[in-house]
Amino acid sequence: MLNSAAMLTLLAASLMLFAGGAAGALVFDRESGRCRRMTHGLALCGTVLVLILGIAGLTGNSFELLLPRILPLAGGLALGLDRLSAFFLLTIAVGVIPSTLFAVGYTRQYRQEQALLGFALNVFVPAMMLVVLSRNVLTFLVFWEAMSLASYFLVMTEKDRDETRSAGWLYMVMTHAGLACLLIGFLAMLQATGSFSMPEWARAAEGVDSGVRSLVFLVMAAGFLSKAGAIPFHVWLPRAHPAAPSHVSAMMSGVMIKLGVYGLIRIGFEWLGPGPGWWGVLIMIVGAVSALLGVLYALIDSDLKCLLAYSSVENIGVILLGVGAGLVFRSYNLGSLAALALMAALYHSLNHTVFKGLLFLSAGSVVHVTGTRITEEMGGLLKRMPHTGAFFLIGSLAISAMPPFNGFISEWLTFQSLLLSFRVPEQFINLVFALCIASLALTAGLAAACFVRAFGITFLALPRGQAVEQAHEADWTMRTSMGLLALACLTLGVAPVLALRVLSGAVNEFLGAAPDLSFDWSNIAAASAFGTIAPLWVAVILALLMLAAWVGLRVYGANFSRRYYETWGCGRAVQTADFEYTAAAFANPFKRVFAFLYRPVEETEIEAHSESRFFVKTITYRHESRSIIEDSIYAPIVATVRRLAAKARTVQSGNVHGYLLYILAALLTLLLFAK
Amino acid sequence: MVLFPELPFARVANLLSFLFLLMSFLLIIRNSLSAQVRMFAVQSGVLSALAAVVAHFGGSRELFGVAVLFAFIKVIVIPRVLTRAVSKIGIQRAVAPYLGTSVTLGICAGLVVVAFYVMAPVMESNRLPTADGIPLAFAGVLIGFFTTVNRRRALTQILGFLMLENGIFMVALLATYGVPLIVEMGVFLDVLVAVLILEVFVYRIKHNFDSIEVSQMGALRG
Repeated sequence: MLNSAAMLTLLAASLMLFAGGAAGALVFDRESGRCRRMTHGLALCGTVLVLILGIAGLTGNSFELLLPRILPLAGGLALGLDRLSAFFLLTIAVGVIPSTLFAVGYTRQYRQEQALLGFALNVFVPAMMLVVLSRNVLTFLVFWEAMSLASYFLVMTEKDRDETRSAGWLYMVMTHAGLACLLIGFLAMLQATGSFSMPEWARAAEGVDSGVRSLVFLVMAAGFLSKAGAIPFHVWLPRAHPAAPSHVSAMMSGVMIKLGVYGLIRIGFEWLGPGPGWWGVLIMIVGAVSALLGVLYALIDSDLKCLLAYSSVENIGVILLGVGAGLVFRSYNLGSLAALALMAALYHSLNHTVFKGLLFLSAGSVVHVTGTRITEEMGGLLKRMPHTGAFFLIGSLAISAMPPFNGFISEWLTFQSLLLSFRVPEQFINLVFALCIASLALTAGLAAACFVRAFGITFLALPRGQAVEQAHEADWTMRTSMGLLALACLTLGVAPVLALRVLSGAVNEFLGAAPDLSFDWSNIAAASAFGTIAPLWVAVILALLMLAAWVGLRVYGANFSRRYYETWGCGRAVQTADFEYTAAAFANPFKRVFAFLYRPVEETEIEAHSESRFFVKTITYRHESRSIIEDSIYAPIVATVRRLAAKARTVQSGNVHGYLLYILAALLTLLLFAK
Repeated sequence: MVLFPELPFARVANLLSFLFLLMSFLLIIRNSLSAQVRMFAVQSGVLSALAAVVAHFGGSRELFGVAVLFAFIKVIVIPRVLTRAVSKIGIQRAVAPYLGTSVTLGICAGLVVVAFYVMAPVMESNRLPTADGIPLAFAGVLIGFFTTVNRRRALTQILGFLMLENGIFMVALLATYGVPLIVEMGVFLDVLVAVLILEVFVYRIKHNFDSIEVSQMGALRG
């Protein structure tokens, strides 16, 4: 056990390392190589201390810190560590450590932007850590904003591209709209309870009118969901995450959006006191919609990183299903089920950090060597980048919830907690849960299809371009970081007991109820054997089956020597990349089935030879889909804002005298009113 | 030693305050730039005399220093700088305000009324013998401000700004017998530097665009 002084020393040491990294970025801004190694190295060391802090916190250490001299107006800088915060510290560290290691090799391509990248990274990571540790309003908002701004600058690394600039702008608007929502909620609670401290709110919440609390919940949930990237607040995510450098995408998708979930858990379960059941139902509906629509958009996207970003929306949906179910269970006083559901959500968010980090990093290696993000232009990369390909495959299996990887365990837990909803004595709630279960099942299937497509089109068959043909394996820092994450995918899937033990402690402390789950190394049983699973045995049996197949083939006398032969020749005389199955073709059946959602615009242009229409020169096929949410929600908002802005522009006369007159008029009006 | 014991402090202060405001009005109705600069110099002279009077009756030696410094900067240095600018630019006439003289005078009269109305509580709460001049000083602030709004040329806007600044100095002088010397010196320096910079700017604008019509900057907006 560490005492709180030791914990604070650890915290201070990690902050010093980040500060050193930020300072190093400014000092060595002209020496890109040194700057790169120093800033990322120090950030890595600082994050390792965050990891230690998280592990220490999960084993029951805690601290409270109040510095009244800093931010004196709002009750000082208040930090605190409990097990829930510690779990998110762990998530941050697990996501950031490999990404930073990856960045050491990966950011070699950014010569000019090195100082900015290093500086922003060394602000971004500690800001995320301090958001999780914040215990009063102003502390939280300051670090929340620092995190958003730092991530904005990270997104803007390739600022010369139009795509990046528009993505950054959209991100800025959405994140500040979210911040405004949070601010309104915080101020309303401040008004109602008279306290800046959030733990105080939890105690005073019972006395606050439930209507006010529900309104605050709605407003703040909107703020946190916009950071989490849940539908319909997700519009920034599939643009900003792909535009950023890949290690930043990994951190944003893997870690930052989880802090939106963190905030939601805090307001739903703690800060706003016990709420009615519809809070949870609302979150579940948002979750189900995000999961389903997220995966459907991921399925048809041909941009590899965009696909991963949409898949993050999907996984946030799965996490929200757990959180929402927990809220519903708690409002019906089913404490142990609430704990189980929340535990599933937390486990899935840790898992998502691991496998989405892995996928973004391996996608980053691919994009780095091929120079394109469009899957249609890749292909055949498995032979050229065998390690990266294997890591991407592991990530794909994990995200598709295939045993023995980690995604399977957390989705299984989510399913169990949703299935146990029959204990809620209300038919409407049961119906909602049933629909959510159905959509989660559909999501899981579609996610598998999505990643079959992503892996298959990117890594298999023949290369479709020159750059792809000359692709080479990534350097050792990049491969090491991916290897670490792949190992974590396997460990969390084979031995979930390691994570479940600390998680059940954290949830128990947070909700005051032990989850209805018994587990040991070989067996996990939900709700006294309502559902059981033996992850270790699953893994062992899978390994044995593979071994048996190999041995069987040996015994049978199969030929293991390498044969040089054309793949899937199908009797054709020539075999080129043009004959290959494309990503668009793979997605087309889904596009047709879900046409009401994608609202595709289909165009086929056939240019025939002038002599006969049977001699076709070129066929151009376009099949674009439109986003139903952007068309029906955001387009009217944008149009209204533009109209109002055009009107407001008349105030901006561009005339200096006019502006002076405004000042004079304002002065006189104020003086006369003050009288 | 009291130099003029027979003159009541309050009456002298009020007289000088009225002279100050009179100079503001004269500045507004004059059309030629050089005459306006002269009016400004006279106004600053009146103000410096007022500072000396307050220093004398209030028994503050520091304030004498302020008066001397003020006279040096605002009666000698700044008018010279401005005269130089006027001769460099070469427009002596056609100051071109937005509103005609009579309308301007009417508005300025209205501003004086507003100043009296707004400053009434300050006058009541202030026990100093100079308190009666406060609304006049504040009227000087408002008229200076209005001049910056009303005039087209950058140079007259500078004059408006300087009148505004004079008014602020005078409010401080009448309401509290002046702020500490160090603050005053800082303000003087600011104003001096501002005027020097503005002069250079005006000259540059004239040089580059053949005009110092501020209204043409409207073309810059997006």
